[in-house]
Amino acid sequence: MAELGKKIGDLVQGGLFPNLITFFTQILATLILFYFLKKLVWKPVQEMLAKRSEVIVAELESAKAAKFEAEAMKAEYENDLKNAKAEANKMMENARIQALESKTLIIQEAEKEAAYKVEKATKEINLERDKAAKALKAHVVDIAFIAAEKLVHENLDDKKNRQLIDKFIEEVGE
Amino acid sequence: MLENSDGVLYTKKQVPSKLILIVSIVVGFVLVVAFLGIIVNLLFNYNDTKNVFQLKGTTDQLFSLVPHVMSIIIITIFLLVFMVIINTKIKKADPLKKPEGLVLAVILFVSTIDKFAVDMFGEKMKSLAPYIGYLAVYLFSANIFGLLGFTPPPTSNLSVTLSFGISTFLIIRYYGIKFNGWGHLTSLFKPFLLSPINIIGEIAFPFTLSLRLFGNILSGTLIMTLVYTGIAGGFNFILTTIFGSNLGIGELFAPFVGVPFLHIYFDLFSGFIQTFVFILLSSVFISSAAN
Repeated sequence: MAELGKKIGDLVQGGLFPNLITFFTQILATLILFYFLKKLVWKPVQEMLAKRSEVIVAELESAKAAKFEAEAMKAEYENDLKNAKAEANKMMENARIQALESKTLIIQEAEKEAAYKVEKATKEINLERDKAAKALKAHVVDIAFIAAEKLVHENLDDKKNRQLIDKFIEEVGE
Repeated sequence: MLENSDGVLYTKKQVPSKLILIVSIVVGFVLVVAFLGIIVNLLFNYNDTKNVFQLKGTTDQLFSLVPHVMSIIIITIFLLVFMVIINTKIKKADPLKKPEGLVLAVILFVSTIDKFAVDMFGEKMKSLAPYIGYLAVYLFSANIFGLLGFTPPPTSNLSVTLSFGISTFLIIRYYGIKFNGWGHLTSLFKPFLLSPINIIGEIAFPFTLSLRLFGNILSGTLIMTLVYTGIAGGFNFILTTIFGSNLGIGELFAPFVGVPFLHIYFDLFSGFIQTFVFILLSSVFISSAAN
């Protein structure tokens, strides 16, 4: 019991009675620990957090910028695509119109040429016929001359004349 | 320089880092103990009748060395080493990666205290956050120091708690005058009849703050001492009746008989609650004086 009383007495006496050495040790410890806590722990942590938030903000900004850019590009591409489609349609329409035009033109030309060719052929035929007719006339005259010559030279009877002419015609016919 | 089969070079710095750490811890411990011993020998005389160290040239109890001083020094050195470790870890950590382990815990602690300080005092007094963090770390370590069992916890000494009360009181007055000017002092005399009560209330604040902490921790320590002594005595009595002679080993049984739960209550729980109350009251008074 005496031991317990001494223990408790020491605890209470050591703790309760004012003691300047303890007081100033604690003040010194407080100053040292406060200074080093601020310098060694608080500042580095706050710097680290600041750096982290800076990096995060920068990343967000760049992501936002990239998204914006991508959207702009997409809009541009969509616009281009629309334009291209319209252009293609227009080109097809133009081609169709042009094809129609050239078709009519070709038909017209062909008709013209056909008409020209027919005309030319007709002309040629006429010319040939005229030529043939002329040639025939000349031949007939010649024949008549030859026949007359023969008739005059031979001086024959009617029967013989007839035979001669027939013979001549036969010759000519051959 | 050493070279292994792969041709990789190891500098001398990389190989025995653990060995260097262990050696430096042992040497540092020995040096600190020797340094403290020299200081105590130079400054103090041993008083045989009272069993205490007394500052040279004094006889008053005001200048005697109590064991709580040893606790303060142990906690201070431990916290300083811990801070240096934290500092190196934070310096090494990559700020862009996810923080892990100790760094994460420290970041959480710092940001919680910062947020608490900003909520309590506002942005203008954010520089007080380390003080609140210091109070939290130191008071909690001091309150649970009794668990280690060598020397009584520093907060079971009124001089220690009073130093905290006085530093908080000085901070209150400093910020009160800084932000409110002379209005801070003249507001004490606002209803002139009540001025004595106001003044006493202001002056009593550091004492109430320090006595609350001191009383709680000292009572916890005393109750634990009583419980240990009681259990040891009870076992000694039982063993004496059984074996006929006092074996003196009753103390060995004390840690196994419900004492851990009492330690959880008196040291951990009470220590945490008292730390929290101290911080909360300090913050409330500081913010009410400043705003």
